[in-house]
Amino acid sequence: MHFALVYGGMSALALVTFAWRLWRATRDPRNPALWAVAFAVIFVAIGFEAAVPRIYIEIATLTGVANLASLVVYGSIASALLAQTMWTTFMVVPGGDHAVLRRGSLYTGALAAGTLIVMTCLFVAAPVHDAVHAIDFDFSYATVPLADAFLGVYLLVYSAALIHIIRLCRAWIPQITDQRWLRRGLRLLGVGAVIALGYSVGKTIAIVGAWCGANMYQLNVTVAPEFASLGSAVMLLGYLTPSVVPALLGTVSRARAHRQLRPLWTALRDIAPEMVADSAHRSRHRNRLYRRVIEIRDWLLRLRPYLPRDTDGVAARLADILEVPPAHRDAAIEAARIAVALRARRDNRPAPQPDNFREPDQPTLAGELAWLAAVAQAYVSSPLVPAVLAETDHAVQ
Amino acid sequence: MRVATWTDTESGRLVMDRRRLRRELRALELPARFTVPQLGEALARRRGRPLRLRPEGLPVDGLSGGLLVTESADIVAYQRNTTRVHQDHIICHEFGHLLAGHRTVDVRGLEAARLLAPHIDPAVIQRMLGRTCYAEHEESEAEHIAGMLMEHHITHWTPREEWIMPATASPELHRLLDTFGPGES
Repeated sequence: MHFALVYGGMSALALVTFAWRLWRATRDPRNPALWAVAFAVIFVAIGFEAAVPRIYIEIATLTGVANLASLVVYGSIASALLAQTMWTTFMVVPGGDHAVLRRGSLYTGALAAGTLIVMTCLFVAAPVHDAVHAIDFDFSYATVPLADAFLGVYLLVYSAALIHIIRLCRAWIPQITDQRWLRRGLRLLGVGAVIALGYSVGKTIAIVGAWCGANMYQLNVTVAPEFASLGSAVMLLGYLTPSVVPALLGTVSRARAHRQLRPLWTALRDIAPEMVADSAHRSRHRNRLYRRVIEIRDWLLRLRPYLPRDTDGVAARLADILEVPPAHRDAAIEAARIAVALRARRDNRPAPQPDNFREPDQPTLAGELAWLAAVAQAYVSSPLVPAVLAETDHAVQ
Repeated sequence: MRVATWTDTESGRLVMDRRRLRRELRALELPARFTVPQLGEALARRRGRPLRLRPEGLPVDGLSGGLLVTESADIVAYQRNTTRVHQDHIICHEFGHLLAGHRTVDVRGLEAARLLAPHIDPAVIQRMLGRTCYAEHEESEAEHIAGMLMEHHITHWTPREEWIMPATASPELHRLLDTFGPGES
């Protein structure tokens, strides 16, 4: 039951990760590294699924080969790690040199094929076909030389690939400063690889111990595989984190900003409702928030002829009187200017000397969003807006 | 002098989607993310003509941007009196027409050219294409493409700063972000 839960859970996590990574690969199909990552993850899923005791036994029953699932498990995990080596090759080749990349890919592909062929030959030759050992294959045949050779090849590839990724992650992480989720993802990948190395250490000690006559059942059957499972889980999270977490956080913050902009967007819409993208196209926009920013800027541009130049001074004076907090002052003044311009437009009173609406401090979309959200909030809640409207209304009359 | 607008010859057809846009950008040999000037240079290479970006104080109730075709160069005029994000969007709208391969119809009118490009000699303008509202199919499609370009490809304006690697970072780190980040989505 324990192994079914652990290996089944790992397989499910790997399948979810694979689905996400496959989707990423299809979005940028010419990036071979994306496909290599997806392959690495699907091999992990196959490996853990075949290790689930019920599946292990079913494979034996269906094929008539008692422990064929062991070859599937180890072959899949070795393939996963070699696919991992493949994507790292795409990262490190200087300038993405195509000839070097092709050589590196061929080398890694040949290594993978060679490893699988050698492992298959050793598995076939080894006397390990007498009974099904769903959870204790390594323990049961620990003193069979050909079985140990089979495990030795596997452990060699497994450990070398993990050490390779640990070294790369150690080199990459200090270079990444602003992309905190990429850094965290690589850290998870590196830490997961270190944990997974515990499997190699445990298995090696267990096999050597078996030859020395020690009973290493717990280490061989329970402890070492736990390291592999935990390490793989952490590595899979490393594959997910850099893309999934920022996307989720971005979705939440965009939904919040979308709500914040609504009062300002609604107030301005009457200026030129035809400039709202029609619903068919709006639904295709992956980021409606962006459209909302552009629509607000389109409308503010049309409102500009109605913005009197002296409103700024009136609003600043009233902001002092009302003691508008400094953090909200600029946004409140801009909201008041928009309110005054909207009223002037309704009354058909263009300004003799129109002013410009303010630019955000940061000339980026994030800066624009933050600024417009602050103005939108001030538009509905700042006491400065009705105060400036009253003062300027009095001046007009 | 001739002035041109985009024609709506295939009313009812689907607008350009992300897949087709990516194909167009790949054909222009652009990376997944780029800047507005880089896109302008790529379009100029394809058209075999220089393409210049020119801020103008355009009337706010008219065109906010447009493409002027002269004998020697294409000029994208865009509204000077707005924010940079908005300006880039206006430019991308014009690029959207070019990417979608919209055909143009000549429209004669000295006044129209003066509205869009008061500082450009009307005598040199052969055709002109402008952004005002997007009720027409072609305008709507160009606006849609501008949105996709800005949201997913124009590096400097991407809303997800987490996914921007500084230009000074090593190619290795750029590839890492391309592989592990969420890509253009």
